[in-house]
Amino acid sequence: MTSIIVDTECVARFVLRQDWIRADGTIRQDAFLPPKDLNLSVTRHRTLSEDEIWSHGNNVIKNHKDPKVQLVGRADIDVGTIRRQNLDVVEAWQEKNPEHAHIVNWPNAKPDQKKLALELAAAAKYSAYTMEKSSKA
Amino acid sequence: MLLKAKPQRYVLLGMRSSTGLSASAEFVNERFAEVREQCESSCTLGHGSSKNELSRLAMECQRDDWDGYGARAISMQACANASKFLCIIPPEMPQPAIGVEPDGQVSFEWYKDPRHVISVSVSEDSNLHYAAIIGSSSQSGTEPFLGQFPSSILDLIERIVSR
Repeated sequence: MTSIIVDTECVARFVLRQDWIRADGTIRQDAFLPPKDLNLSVTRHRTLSEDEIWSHGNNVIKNHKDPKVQLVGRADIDVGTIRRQNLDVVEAWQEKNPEHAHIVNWPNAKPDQKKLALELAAAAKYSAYTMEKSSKA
Repeated sequence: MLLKAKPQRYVLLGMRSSTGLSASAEFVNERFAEVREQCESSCTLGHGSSKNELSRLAMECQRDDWDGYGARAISMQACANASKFLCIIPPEMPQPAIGVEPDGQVSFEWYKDPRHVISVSVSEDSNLHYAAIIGSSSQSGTEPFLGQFPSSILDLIERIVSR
């Protein structure tokens, strides 16, 4: 069942590498650069509890072969902030994560992607993941 | 000293079960030994810890999906170009933070605060893609990497770090 993603919604970009986070707790552009298919994965908060959000984060790295890929934290950002950069957020349902979405409408040029990633990173709020916050999935 | 440390790193990287290195692991090790050697030998002036950081990232990001989101592995050429870029950073400039991007390019960041930051990516085809936020404005562009530090990027970095 599709739903409208309104500007006031919040989405989470799971941070899977420590070097995406600066020493002062701010987020580097690396966390928001799109992959080759220009669909940047995020998870909608909607009515999820903190535990449920973190559980989705753990599912992303579950069974990953590289031990360096870990759930470090997440970067939360409002959909309205994303759309003001001429990007969009669309549903991208996954069986294990019905709240999965994509940030889309990225430009093709690398410098423009970097500029947008810098803006998103500057606007996002970082929360570090600790085991106490959630039981592992 | 670093040369002596290398064999240990190879063994550590290739550790499997008691059967030892697989053929593919050995191949990967050898390829990235070349990269590491380039990273460590190409610069003799300053930014020593940046060289080590580049070497570390080259090892960590040598396989696809190193970021958990399907990123492309860092390429030998990207790493070599990044190593050359390190060599031309003026020694009086602060050391940048180094990262790897989903397309396998290496990035260099100079940062003051989230609204005063510049990131420069070094591509395989020897281009420098940059983006900067300076207060309420932002700039981005591409400069060819011709062996000299582009003045346009230098100006932006100086505006950010001297704030």
